[in-house]
This record gives sequence, structure tokens and C-alpha cells, in this order.
Amino acid sequence: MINVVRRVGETLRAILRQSLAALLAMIIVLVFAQVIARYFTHIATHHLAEISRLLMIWMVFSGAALLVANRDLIVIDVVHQALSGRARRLLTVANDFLTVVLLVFLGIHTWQLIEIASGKIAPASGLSYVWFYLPPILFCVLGTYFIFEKLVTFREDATPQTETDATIVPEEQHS
Amino acid sequence: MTMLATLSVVFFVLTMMAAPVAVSMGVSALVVLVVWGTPGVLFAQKIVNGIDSFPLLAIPFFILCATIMNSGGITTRVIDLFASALGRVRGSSGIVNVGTNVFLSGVSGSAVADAAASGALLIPEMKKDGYSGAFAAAFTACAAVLGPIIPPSIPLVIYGVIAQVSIMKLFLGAYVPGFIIAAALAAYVSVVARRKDLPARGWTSWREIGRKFRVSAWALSMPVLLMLGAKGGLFTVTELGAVLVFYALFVGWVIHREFEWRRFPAMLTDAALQTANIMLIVGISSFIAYLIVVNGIPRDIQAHLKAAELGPHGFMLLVNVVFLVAGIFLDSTPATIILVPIFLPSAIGYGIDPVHFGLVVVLNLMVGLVHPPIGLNLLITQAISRAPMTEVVRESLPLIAVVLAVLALITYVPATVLWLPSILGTP
Repeated sequence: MINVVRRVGETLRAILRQSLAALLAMIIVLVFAQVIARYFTHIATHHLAEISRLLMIWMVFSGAALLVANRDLIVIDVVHQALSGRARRLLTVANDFLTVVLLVFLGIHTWQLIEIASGKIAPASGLSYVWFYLPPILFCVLGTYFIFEKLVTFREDATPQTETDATIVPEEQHS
Repeated sequence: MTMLATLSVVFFVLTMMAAPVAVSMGVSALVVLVVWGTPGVLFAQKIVNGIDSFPLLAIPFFILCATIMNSGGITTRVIDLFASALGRVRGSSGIVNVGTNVFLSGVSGSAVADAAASGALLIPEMKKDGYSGAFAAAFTACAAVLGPIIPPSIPLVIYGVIAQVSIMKLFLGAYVPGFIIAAALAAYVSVVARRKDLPARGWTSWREIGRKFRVSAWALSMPVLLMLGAKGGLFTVTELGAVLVFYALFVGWVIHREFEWRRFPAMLTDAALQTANIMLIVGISSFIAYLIVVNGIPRDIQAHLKAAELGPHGFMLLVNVVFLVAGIFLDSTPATIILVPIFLPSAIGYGIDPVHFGLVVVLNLMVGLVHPPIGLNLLITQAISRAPMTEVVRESLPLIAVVLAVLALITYVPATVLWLPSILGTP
């Protein structure tokens, strides 16, 4: 069970990493295409600007899910560093719980927003607004899964395998 | 005002508990939503709308540009040129550090990125010249503050979007303050070098300097390209970012032949992740800013300030104190998005130009990056130098005083900011 959860998590993270690179590459090309269009081909590019913004929204929420997975969201950890290993782990679990509360709340209300906006169309590209409001749902679902994965694998990761390992505190990343 | 106090207390407590900044902000907003009964749909909508902005697309471009420059050999060539040209000056690595940060600022827009890039290359060089590791770390951290001041600047892009001010005008207004800080830091490090009687590295022939200049010319022209783009209105700030990315790729790959395409996907992922970290905070801050405006807090603050009869000078002093303290404890992004809507209407009421106000705000917030106890730049450069943190902090205090003196000048002499945009006639 734990291995399956971990493997699914690793696959999702790999997909997210590739998607992020592809999304940013597409945004750069689209914005550069607007410059080319303005000075060389003289074609109106409002739809390209709108699609770039849409891709940015997808990039931000996909990236945010990966940041939750890696515990890489911006943190001010002055107090955290002064705590003992046990207190630090407890605080990490408490923060994971807060993150889940936020994700669930955001997910529910974004879903309501999608229901309201489902008939509306973006002015330049003609895309449904649903495409603009789907990324937070992706963030909420993936973010919650990654926290679930951490909780499920936490015991196994924290169990010392050898005498040497017993002294190692699980590493957490903070920026 | 009770709502603002609730928001602040919940946010502060959670942040001190090491909850991610975005989560602390989100949960404090949830508390307000539940207690004050704001529709939750607005929460989701404002977060997405806060991110859905064309000018903010410039942020990943500037981050990516800095990464490409470092891996394409652009940064090292510029450092090499400065080091050769200044070899005859005592303890020249300090001034090379300032020059490099001025150049890096001209393309990256992030203080933290600049501190990491210039620190790795220049702290060892400063130590070789005879500076202590602690001084080298503190000095590099302070020099990297130039990153978000000299254009392009991520905090100025965010301020421009929030305050509805021309980002190009902000960029042009930032050049003079940036160069004043650079000159002040260069003067300070020269005095230190003289006092410690540090040796000069020796002469480099003019022919050799000329050769190094030719090699670095492509890199040195990047800030020029940016300034021409800003002044001439050739590109929007976002387009300029995309053009700079292509230019950095061209120089690193075609001219210097050092850029490795196999590393490009990882660079893209890294830039996207850094952007997501900033933009998630931008999105949630947008909702908090909405709550603040809808509840009339800026109007209340304006009334209080009017009753206190502060006057423009007193108001700017207050702004300096508030943003300086906010910069010490908060990331610059939420501080800008939440506090600017509170203070900007009063600033305009006092006749303060929003461009001048923006530069004062950003500079205050950037001082927070080198101010103990949190000072992210200090943490980065201290890790590179491996000097004890207490010594790094001690060495940073006079440098912070230098930056604060320049901040006072910029605060009370608006021409330092407004002169360049006015003579260049930026709309």
C-alpha cells in the first residue's frame, strides 16, 4: 500500500516537473510571437496574450502543488530552527493539517465558481472560463494527495533502519 | 480595523509557527471569511484574478534570464572584465562585487538570485584580497539589494500592477537611486580596503582590458537593450522579458558557446517553481487586499493621518518605518500587495508621486533582506562564506546604515527618482 502511494506520488511529481518546463517554454514562445507579430507580420495577437495568461495560471497552480510536495513553499523558519526534533515534527504535521484545510476550502469554493462561470467565454480566445478556474482544483487535489503521501510514508521514513540512521532527523526544505 | 487586527494576528502567529507564508495568509483570510461572512467564491475568484495579469508574466522571464546568464558564461566574463579594469585599486574585489551586482541587477530583478550568483563567485575573491569572510558575506548581501532596485525588478513589476502605475516609468525612476546606492557601497568598501591596507592585484594592460571588453560586449549590451526598450516604448515589460530570454540564449549558445541545452528543461522547471512560489502569495494577497479595500480600511487610515496632521514629510517617515518593519518580518510580495492599497491613497492625498512612493516602498522592503534577524540575503551569503552568523550580522550593521542614509535621501529628495523619467519623457 505504502509503496503504491509513494510510486503514484513520484509519477505525479515527474509529470508536474515536465509540465512546468513545457508550460513556461510555451509562454515564452507565445509572448515572443507577439513581438514578431507586431513588428513583422502586423497581425492582431490579443488571443495569444490571453492564452499566455491562461498558461501562467496553470503553471502557477501546478508549480504550487509540486512546492507543497517538496515542502518548498516560502517559510520564515526562525522559531522552527530553535525547536527540538520532536517539536519540529509536530509543527510540520500541524502545518500540513492547516495546508489541507486551506486546500479543501479553496477546492470547494473554486468548484462553486466553476459552476457559476461555466457558461462564460473569454473575450479574445473564445475559451470557456472553466479553463481559467480548473488549475486551483488541480492544485487542491494534488496538494492534498502529496500531504496524504507524506503522512502515510512518514512512519516508514522516520523508522531507523540501522543504528547510524537512528541519529538522522528527516530533512525538511525551507526557503 | 478589528478585521485588520484579526488578519495580522492570525497571520503573524502562523508565520512564526513556520507555516508557509501562502498558507498563513490563506488561513488568516479564511478566519476573516468565516467571522465576517464574506462569500467563499470571492476567495477563489480573487486568487485566480490576482495571478491572471499580463505584466506579471515578466516575473518567470527575468528569473529564467538570470539562470541562463549564469550557465552561459555571461556573468563570469563580466566579473573578469571588472576585475581586470580595477586591478590597480586596493582591495578591488569589493568594487568588482558592486559592479557585478549592478550588472546582474540589470538583467535578473531578484536580490536573492543575485546574492547567490555573485556570492558564489565573489566571496572567495574578496577573501583572497584580505577581506574577512564575515565582511565579504555582509557586503555581498547588501550589494545584492541592488537587484530589485536597478531594472528589471520583480518587486517594481508587482508594485506597478497593484498601484496601476507605468512599470516602465518605475524602471526608469529606479536607475538613479540604484546608482546612488552602488556609489555609496563602493565608497564604503574603498575606505575599508584603505583602512585594512589591502594590496592591489596589479596592472592589466589596456590591450588586455580591451580584449576582455570585446568578449563581454554582448553581455554588457543587455542592460542597454532593456533601457532602450523601456525608453522607446518598443516592448511592454513582459515582451521585454521574453526578448531578454532569447537574447541571453543567443549570447550563451551562439556567441560564448557555453550554454548546454540538456540543462534547459531543468532551468525552465526551476524558474517556473520560483514563479509559482511568488505568484501563489500574489494571488492570496490579492484577496486580502480586496478585503482591506472593501472594508474601507484605507479611508479610515487616511482619516487618522489627516487628524494627526502629519504633513508629507511626517507621512513619508511613517511609511519608511512601516515598510521597513514589514520588510524585516514579511516577504516583499505580500507586504507590497497588502500595505500599498492602505497607504497609496494617503500618499496621493499628500501630493506624493506614486512612482516616487513605489521606489521608497521597494527600497524599504529590500533592506529587510539584509536586516537581522531574518535577512534572507545574509543567510545565503553566510552559508557561502561559512563565517559565523554573529560576525556577519555585526559587519552588516554599518552597511545597512549606508543603505538607510541613501534611503533617507531618496525619500526626501523626490528628484532622485523623478528626474530621469521626466527628462526622457516617459508617458
